Amino acid sequence: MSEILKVEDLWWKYEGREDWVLRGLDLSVSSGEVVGIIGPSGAGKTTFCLSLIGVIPQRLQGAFRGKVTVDGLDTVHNDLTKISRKLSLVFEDPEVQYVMSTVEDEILLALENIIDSREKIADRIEWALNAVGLSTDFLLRNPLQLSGGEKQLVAIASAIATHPKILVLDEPTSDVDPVGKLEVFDSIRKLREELGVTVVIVEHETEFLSRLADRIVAFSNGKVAFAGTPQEIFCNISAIQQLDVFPPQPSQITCSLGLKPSLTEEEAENTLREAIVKGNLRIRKPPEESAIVSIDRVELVALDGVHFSYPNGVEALNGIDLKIFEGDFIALVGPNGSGKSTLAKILCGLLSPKAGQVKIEGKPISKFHRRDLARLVSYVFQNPDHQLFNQTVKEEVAFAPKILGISEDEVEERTDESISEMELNGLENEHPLFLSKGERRRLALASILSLKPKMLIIDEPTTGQDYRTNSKIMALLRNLNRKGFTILLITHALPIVSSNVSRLLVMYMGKILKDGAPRVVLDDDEVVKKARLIVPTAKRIAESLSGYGIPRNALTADELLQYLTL
Amino acid sequence: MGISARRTALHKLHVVTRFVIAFSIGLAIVFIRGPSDIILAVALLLLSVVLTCLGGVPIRSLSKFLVVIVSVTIFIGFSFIFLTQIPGKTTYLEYVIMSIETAKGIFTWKILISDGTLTYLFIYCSRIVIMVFSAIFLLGTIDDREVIWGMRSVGLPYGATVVAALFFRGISLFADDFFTVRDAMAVRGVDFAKTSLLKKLHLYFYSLIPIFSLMLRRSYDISLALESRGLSPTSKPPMIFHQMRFKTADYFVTILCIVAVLVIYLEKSF
Repeated sequence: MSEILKVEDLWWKYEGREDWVLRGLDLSVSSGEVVGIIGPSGAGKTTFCLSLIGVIPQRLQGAFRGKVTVDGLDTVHNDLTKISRKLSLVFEDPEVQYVMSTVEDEILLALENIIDSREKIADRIEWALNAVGLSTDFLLRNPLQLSGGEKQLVAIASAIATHPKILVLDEPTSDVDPVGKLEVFDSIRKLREELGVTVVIVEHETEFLSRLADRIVAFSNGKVAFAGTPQEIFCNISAIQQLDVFPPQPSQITCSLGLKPSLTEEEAENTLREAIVKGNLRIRKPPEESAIVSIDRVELVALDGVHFSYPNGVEALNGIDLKIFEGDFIALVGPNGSGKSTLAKILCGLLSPKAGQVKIEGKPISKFHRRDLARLVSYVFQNPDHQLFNQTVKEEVAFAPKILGISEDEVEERTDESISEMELNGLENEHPLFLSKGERRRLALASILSLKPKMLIIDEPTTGQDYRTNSKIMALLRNLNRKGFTILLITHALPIVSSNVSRLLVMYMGKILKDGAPRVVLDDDEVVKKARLIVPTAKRIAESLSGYGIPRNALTADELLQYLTL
Repeated sequence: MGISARRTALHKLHVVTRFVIAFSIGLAIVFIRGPSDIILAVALLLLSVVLTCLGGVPIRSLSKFLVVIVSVTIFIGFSFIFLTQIPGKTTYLEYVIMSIETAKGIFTWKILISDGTLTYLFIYCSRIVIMVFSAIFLLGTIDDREVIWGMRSVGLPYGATVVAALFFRGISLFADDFFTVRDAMAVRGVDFAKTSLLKKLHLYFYSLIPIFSLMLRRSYDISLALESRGLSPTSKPPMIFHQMRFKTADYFVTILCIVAVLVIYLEKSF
């Protein structure tokens, strides 16, 4: 295969920054190859993508060294329009790519510049939509009103409509529900098979990546740390974990046991089965479950027949009955548009139900003063930037207690406690907007924590972050829950949260489809299918090997490994 | 403004023609000055209502403007009744509230409701109602997509139309961010309904910080996305997919509007 993309000794430093983001990066990609890029936050992955299309150095200010060649075009000397005909880039957030108000106009935007026949343009639009599995029914829909998966598919359709030779995708599934992620990856696979397009994809979801990529390149500190086949890279568990990358569960399980490294679920099942049959692997007896102590649970929130519809007529909640108890640790999951955020806003009084009743501590929510409600239920928004408006970290955390009219001494005490709880010590006098994304997210949490609400609702705390950041956030949340906070997480990241939470609430079309312990909920195939969930791979492997005595309830690779020994 | 009209024959007119219709009505309002213009006021009022209905604007969407219309009518009504005495052929009510003897004579403050008062009230209110209806007609019958097509069809540069598209996109982003930031303040105990005006202004000023930082970040991201798609303000597409052409009906309506405004001008000026 001929070389289509070549990056030679690439260095880049943004203007006004001291550190180089890219530090002598070398990479060569062959025509038709699928290359997966992994690495921790700040490794230079997005900057690398921008340098492939020529935005770096042609449009952004900074220091540039090295050479990038895209299908024979040098990105420094060739116009972006020319490069963009060969290479298309899809960004992490599909919404930033949308300019026009309909899907048709969005795809059309680039086509009008390269095709001079109306019929050909119409054909190409239809082809692009079909290629990503969407129909022409989408043409007149507003891209911003699509589901997360559909938004990303439209962004990919817009990118491939120009028939680029190379498709670069920067974390294309970070805000998409689990089945939506599968759909996006399936579309990319089809494009590769049908068009032979070369794909460079930056992704945290290593399990998906391992099934799609021919080669994995791990970035660290602005350069290539190591590269190889998915088998080589993902079976080197310690190396990729050092890069804050979450390894695919099949390889984590097989490699940890010292068995033949397996990338896919099927391979892992076969490897484990073979080892068990040959007697190389023994099943440990599951630990005796401690007797369940019945304790009186204190009801914190009760919803009875709650309905809500938006002014445009969309019925977001369709009869919700729910009870939340003090100390619950709940994950609220469900497909995009199933009503999760609406339910959360109802719970903290931002929206009022059209019918039904919401009670907090037995009192109707409408009877609460806003300040009193904030002490009971509060909400951490998905994008921390919506929440940060003070001049320093300390002022930000102190804002809410001051609003509540708490004494100065207590405000000080709560502020220090929250800052310390979220591990932001030393940053008290920093401006919130100058913190890293992970720090801003923790600050947003600290700014709510200082209210000491009984219940915290946290919207997508793990989206688009690396393994280490997510592990840290989950550890902080577990700790808060142990201290008595009731926590409700809105999330798509089932593999990350399922082993941490005590309750899984599944929403579907404005209703609670299932409510129970994660292991019980995920055993219900119908619920899993309807809610577009994907059962964690470790659980599927455990189920398929349950005939050998492996308990079916393992949710993570670590849990499954507890039952296996050499 | 949340008005979405069903498609009717009026939507087949070029977007520029629809602008011309609304603009002509707006221009004609200037010539409604007093009781002698009552026929013009009635005609324009009827025309704007008929156009709004023909434009497929749902009647229920007018309800949100009723508060504006009614409150403005009440305000004008009170002004004419309490602050101005407009005599007429028939007096319906005349009541002296206060009479003070001053060095320059007797100052009397009285309520006077005559047919003259009602005529003026009608004239002034009809101007506002006509403006509201013509604005509803315009906003209800055009969408941002048609504005972009219209701009292209009248020969504006491609870059300008992309900027216009971004502007429309920016409005919705700004509104979304504003409401989210307000919600984020509310969950931290801020009660906008029970906060003093000064404190409210202070909080809204606070909210500008995240809104502007988000806007800056987004505009940076959007410009990168546009550049990476090979689009720039100087792009010149070889063809336009959605072409809006001026048809016979457009020429006819446009000429009719221009002639009508000219006739009104000549009639009222000389």
